[in-house]
Amino acid sequence: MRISTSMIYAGGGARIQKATADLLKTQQQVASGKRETDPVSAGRILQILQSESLNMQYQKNQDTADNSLRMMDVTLGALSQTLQDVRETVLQGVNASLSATDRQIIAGKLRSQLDALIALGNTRDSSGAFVFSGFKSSTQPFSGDSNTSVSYEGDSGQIAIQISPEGETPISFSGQEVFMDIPAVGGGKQSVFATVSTLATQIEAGGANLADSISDSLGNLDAGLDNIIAVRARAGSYLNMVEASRGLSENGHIENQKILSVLQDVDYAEALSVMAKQQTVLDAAQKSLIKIMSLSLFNKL
Amino acid sequence: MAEMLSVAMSGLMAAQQGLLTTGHNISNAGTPGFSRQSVIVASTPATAGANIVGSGVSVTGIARSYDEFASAQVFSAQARGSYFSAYASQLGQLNNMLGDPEAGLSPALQTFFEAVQQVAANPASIPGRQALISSGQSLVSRFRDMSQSMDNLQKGVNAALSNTVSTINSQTRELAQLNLRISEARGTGAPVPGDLLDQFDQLVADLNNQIGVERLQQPDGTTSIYIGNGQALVVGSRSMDLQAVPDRADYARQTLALTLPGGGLQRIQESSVTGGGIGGLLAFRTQALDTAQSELGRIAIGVAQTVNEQHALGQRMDGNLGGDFFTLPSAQVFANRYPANTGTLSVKAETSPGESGLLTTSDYRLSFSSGQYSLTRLSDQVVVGSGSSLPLSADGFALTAVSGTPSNGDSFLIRPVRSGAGTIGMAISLAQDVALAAPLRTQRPTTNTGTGVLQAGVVSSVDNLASFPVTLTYSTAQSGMTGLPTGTVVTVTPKGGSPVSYTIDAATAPSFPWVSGATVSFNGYSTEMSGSPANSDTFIIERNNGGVGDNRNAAALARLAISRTLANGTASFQEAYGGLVTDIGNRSRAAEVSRTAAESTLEQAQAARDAVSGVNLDEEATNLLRYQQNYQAAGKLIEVAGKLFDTLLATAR
Repeated sequence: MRISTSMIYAGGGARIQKATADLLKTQQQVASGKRETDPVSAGRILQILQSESLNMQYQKNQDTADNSLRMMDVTLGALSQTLQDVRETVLQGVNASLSATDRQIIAGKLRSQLDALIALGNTRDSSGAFVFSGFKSSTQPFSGDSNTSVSYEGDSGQIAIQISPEGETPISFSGQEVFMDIPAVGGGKQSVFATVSTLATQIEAGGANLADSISDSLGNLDAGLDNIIAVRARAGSYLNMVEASRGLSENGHIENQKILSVLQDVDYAEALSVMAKQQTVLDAAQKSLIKIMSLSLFNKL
Repeated sequence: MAEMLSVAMSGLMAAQQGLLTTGHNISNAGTPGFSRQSVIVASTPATAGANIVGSGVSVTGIARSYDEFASAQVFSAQARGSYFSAYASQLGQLNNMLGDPEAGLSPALQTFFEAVQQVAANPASIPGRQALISSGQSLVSRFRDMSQSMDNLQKGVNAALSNTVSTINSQTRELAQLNLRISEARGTGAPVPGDLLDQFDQLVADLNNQIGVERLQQPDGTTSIYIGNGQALVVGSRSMDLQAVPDRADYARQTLALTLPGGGLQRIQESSVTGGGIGGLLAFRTQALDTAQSELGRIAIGVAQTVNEQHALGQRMDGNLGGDFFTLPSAQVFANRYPANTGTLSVKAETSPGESGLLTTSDYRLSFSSGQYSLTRLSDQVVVGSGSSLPLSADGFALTAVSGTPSNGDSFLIRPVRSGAGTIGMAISLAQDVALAAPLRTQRPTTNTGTGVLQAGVVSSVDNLASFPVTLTYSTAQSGMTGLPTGTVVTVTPKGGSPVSYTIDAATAPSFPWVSGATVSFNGYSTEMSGSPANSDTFIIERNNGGVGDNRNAAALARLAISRTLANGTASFQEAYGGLVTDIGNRSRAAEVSRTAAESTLEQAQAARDAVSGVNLDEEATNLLRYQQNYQAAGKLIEVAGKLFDTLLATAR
């Protein structure tokens, strides 16, 4: 069969080009660390990158939730402590042997503890938002002081954020829930501030059966304390939810990274050995073409 | 003697022809399309009456080593090779742009929704809101940049069409000229020079690189060239020019037409052009580029509409309802130009509210004939709408008349999604105007004595916002919640149960039941009931004034990242984009495989052709030696003849 001279050159040239192209492709992969992906893998990689992005967001939200809930817990702890202090102060003031002046001093102590409670109610977070205002985070929730009645300017909203694809978790409690809607002895509701204020007034006034007359208010105070304990417990359970989600997010992240690595990372052992083989092929193609080109009858004439 | 001399001369001549032909072959060893030539010699028989010894040799012709079948194989392999080469390289560009993990759409979408989540965690933060607006701007820019790149690819196809057409025309004109010379050569009775035929074949090969053609040999020796559905480019010594002409409706899009001998224009069906670079470009444009642009546009429209619709349900920092977040992309409408519509009707196409999920990636044709409008989906030729007047709507968009009236036979090309990615924009620039709160909240007065709780709720429509505030009162006598005006339709859906509807009548049916754990909805508002209220407990549902810390609408916006809102509820934005990337990636991969296969087929076809027609220098070297020896031998014969004559003369003295 006749092989035309131009075919020899063209064929040989084409073979060398292909070998060079193959070698370059492998070199590119080795240098970039990314292997060549087929279309299905490319689609899968996009999917996983999306999943990673969502995961990262959930993790950020989990951190935010964690911070908010922990801060809330600290604030509720301080509240609890203050209410305990109020209780002790009240018990001091019930002592029948106290004089009017003494009782006035105790009432004054109660009123400054009330101011402390109001200040706690107006706590702001690190960005300056009021934590007990419900949705109205720029509005100060409690106005008034120990000499006036304290009213609530916030709403009953509870803020929640998404910590996992399925779940939102609340990260705040409204001032209404924590301070205002405390069930009162004998029916109805009374706020913590009103209770302390009433106690101060009652102790200041004194009277024959002081212990009896303040028993209702003391009951209200205890109800306030119990409420705070209940709210703290709920905050604790939300924190647990956040922890659980954190674990899931971490695992998801690790899985994603594993799959990504399988899909797109170069296996260096394999790639380098392929490259060595391709170098040999290129070398052989070049040398053999030179050999063939030098074979010509015209050289022998 | 004389006979010996003439016999020797004939041998000399033949050897000379042989040497010349061999020299011709050697010189043309590298000429593309050259067919090896060889001398055909025949012995000259004895002249009548004289000796029985023959009278030498004569060259009866120059043979052209040529195999019609092998050549045909090469031509068709060339057409395929160029087709896949053009197709694969264009697809490769598109694939790289779409699939790039950094430059594609995915990262911009991710960054946008990440910013939404950020701001949902702290909605009152102005920097956070500003960052959201910036990432919205980045998403818009990314859509537009990708649309621009695809527009550039479209322009590239148009430009390549024009350039290729002029190349083809100069080739067909030359082919016609060659046909003329071939038929003239035939006419003189002499054999047609092989070189002429080789030139013709080489031009046909070059032409096949541009556009796939068929050849038909004519009895007069000329070859006619046809394309597509049998349209002739070259007949005898006449050639017909191709032209790149605007599409019937979309004047910016080039397509092919043939100039008829009479002077008219005959449009060429793009699907009938197979083979050659033009075939590859047209296939790329119709099968990949148009689809990719439409799909990207559909995603842009989906993003804009769903975000806008959720944003409109939210509340800005100043307490007003949110408007559009993005500007909704526009649809393209082209009135027919070739032939031009005779009516004055101008039509507008818009995505129908809430229906971006029904959009397809197809183009549509609106035609008016005999008083009836007819709307056809071009991907499957299904008529999706008809009527005697506009508006008409189908597949997620609506057509409305802007002005004028149509005439019989008028036609419009409608592209609801093609320009989506190029025309999306931002409608918001102020941080305070981002609507992250919900417009309604629930208040529970301190005077309530029961344990009933209503959640803050979800707003699904703001059409009835004016009916709020609403005060609901629990009435033990009515065993339910009263306070809604007559005519309100209330739906109560118990947990895990089916919805039950109640229509309020202040006189006869004023209440709906309180079911703990159930969802209740009315007037576009829905919330969850829990606990149990006491008699006369009230709940107030009112506007969310001052609620800057409320993130309910932000959370709803964030959930759009994973909701399946596109393609009839089967794909989220990322999933639709991922599908596009995989589709183009698959096509690109298939095209590369086909290209490699076509290259290999071409090589084999060329080898087969060269086995017959190719020049092998070693073979020619042998021929040189042979003819040289022939020449020497014939020369020797002349010398001998001369010596004989001298001998004769010497004898005669």
